[in-house]
Amino acid sequence: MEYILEANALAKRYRNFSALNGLTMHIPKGSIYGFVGRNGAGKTTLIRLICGLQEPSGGEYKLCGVKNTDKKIISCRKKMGAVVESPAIYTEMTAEENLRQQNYILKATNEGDILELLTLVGLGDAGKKKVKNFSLGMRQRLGIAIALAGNPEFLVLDEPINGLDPQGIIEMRELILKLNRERGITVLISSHILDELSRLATHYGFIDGGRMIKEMSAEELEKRCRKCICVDVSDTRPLADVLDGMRAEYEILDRTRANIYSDIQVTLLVTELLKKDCIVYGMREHDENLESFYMNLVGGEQNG
Amino acid sequence: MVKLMKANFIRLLKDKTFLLLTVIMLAIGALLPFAHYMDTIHSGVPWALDFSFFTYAFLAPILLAVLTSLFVGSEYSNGTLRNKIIAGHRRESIYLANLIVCIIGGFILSLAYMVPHLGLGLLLNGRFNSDFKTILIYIALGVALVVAVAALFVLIALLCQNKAHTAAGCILLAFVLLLFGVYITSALNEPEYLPAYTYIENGVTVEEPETKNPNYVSGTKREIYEVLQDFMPGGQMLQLADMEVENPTILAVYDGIILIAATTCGMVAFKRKNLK
Repeated sequence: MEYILEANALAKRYRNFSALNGLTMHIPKGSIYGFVGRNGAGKTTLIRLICGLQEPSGGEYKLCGVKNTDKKIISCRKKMGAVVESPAIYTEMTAEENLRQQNYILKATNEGDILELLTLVGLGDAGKKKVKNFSLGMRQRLGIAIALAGNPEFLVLDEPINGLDPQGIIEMRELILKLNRERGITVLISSHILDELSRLATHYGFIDGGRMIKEMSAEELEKRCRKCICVDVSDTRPLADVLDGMRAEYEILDRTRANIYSDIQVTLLVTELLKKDCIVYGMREHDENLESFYMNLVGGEQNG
Repeated sequence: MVKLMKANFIRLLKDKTFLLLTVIMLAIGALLPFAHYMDTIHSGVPWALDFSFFTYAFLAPILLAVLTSLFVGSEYSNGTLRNKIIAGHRRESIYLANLIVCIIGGFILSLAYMVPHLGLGLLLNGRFNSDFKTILIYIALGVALVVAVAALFVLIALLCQNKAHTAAGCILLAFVLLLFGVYITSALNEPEYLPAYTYIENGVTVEEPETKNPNYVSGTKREIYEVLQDFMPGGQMLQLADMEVENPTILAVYDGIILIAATTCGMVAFKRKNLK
């Protein structure tokens, strides 16, 4: 798999405090990577490092295949756009003037592209209104437009929906999906609003205490979180026979445990298993979402 | 770096603080020759452009402190400095682009004073007492002074990430430099001897002879004070404003030292700085 960003044993220390402790990360090209973690977990620190705002204390990362120690990393950053914490915009200027400023810095797009970008982020009618009079949602969208000015391959959004109203959240979600699907932009979204992230992300990275606890694709997570009945039996072979006969969807986990994903009549299942001398020790419903998965993950990590 | 300079310069020209400071310099530059002319009408004493043409030498650094702190400080407060780093610009380029644009800002502020002062002054029969070469040397020293103080203010502005602290630091530095210059200059201007004088007490005329001035700075201390007066921008500001520079070459060399030292230190520290 081709990765747009790879981090290996990345560390960042501020005097006596370690913000990142050997973080490892893999962001596949073309994905929407949900970077999940509580406040202070190290999400923004990682983003600051990859944006070149700070230097790592240890470890390394590769951006588009270029190592952070390579001199080419500076020019490689032209391939990325970022909105770190708050949108980086001149509040005394209009949206158009802000984009023009970014164009001077990048020498990238022309006047036509400015209007196209503003329309893309839903600010086509912002006119001569100064940014200081913009709503938070408008500022976030302008921040994204600025990040998009250099036609980046990789977009980094740090908490993009914080403080947005429901309408703003929906618009932001649609914009991110549009950028990913229509322009093929890889997106890294750091957030702790898990419900919203679950509607967008194709991959997840769960961070806690400056370390990556788990990385997985949305499919893997969906499997883990899928509603099912977890069954403990004396032998899963007769269970598989019975479930095949019932045309049920299931997954054998080991010799005594299985997950059943289809709706089944429990009485019928138990009766059929008894006929095959298979004892049912336990049966429980499993219904996990991203939030509970994350809490179990972080809780488990802490308990461990 | 040219891209950064262009972006910064266009932003400077639209900056409200810069426009306000330019208007202030224009107003002072126009008012002073008019005030001198009115004095001449009332007192009959002829006036010359030399009286106040270089007054900008202590006005410009103070206004430049305000401009630099707010102009560069807004890069931090708005977070737009990040855009430049993410866009693939080296920190050294960002530093130098800010420095050059602030220097240009300082030149524009100086010109905003000089142009109306000269124009209105000539219209009101003002002439230079000094020769053309001297005026040119003073203008060159004014340029060098603006460059040196801009280097100091940009150093503060790019190393401090809080706009309010930057503004306080730059403006405080400008006034500290000026007050230090005033202190050194007045100490050096103390006469070596207090003149003899007479007074009448109870109908008797008393004559006091010339006495040694206890405040007179002499020896090594005087030499140090003289170096400081030439080296410190505050001392230079007063020497230029009063057109009392004794060794222009030394002043230009000191300005060069300040520029190189401040910019080198600033760039090294800025390159290592953890930005938020």
